[in-house]
Amino acid sequence: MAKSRSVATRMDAKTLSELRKLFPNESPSQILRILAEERIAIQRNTESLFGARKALAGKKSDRTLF
Amino acid sequence: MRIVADTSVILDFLDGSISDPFVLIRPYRLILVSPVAFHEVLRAYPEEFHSKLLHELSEELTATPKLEHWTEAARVLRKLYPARREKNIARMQNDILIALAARDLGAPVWSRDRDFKLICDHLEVGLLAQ
Repeated sequence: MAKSRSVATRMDAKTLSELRKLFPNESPSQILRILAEERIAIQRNTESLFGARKALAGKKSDRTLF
Repeated sequence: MRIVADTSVILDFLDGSISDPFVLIRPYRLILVSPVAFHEVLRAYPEEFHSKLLHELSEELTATPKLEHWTEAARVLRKLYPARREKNIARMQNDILIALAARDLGAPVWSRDRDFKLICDHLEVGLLAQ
């Protein structure tokens, strides 16, 4: 708990206020965990999509069946 | 922050005509793909690429449509396109299933296909047409 408070107090007040609106029922440590998970998901998502394009190695879609 | 991409924008991205999708979808930051759209994507490429695409995109897929989605899709299809002979009904069915996947997630659809306007309005799903 002390650690959570410490993290919260280091956070910019405006940022914390905005985050509290988005996550009204979560503690600061829970908010930070959610944000960390989101960051990982976004990174994975980007890598997946660009990985798919790379896997096609320049092959263009044939939309005849689309 | 999540958005569900329609087949056409995924194909545009994979073809390179959309260079960076994350610029276009701001403030959304995570692009999900319905298995229905993924199926349509696979149809556009030779089989030798299918396992690679599945490997890369499997974690970005939404849930597979359930019976309730198929039954609702039938209802919506009948309501929105009661006498539409010139349209590819199978494609419209897939568009509805994609929009239903977005609705389940509380996310908008990302599509440049004008048909999605009618579907998303009907289902009260957001639409990003960038």
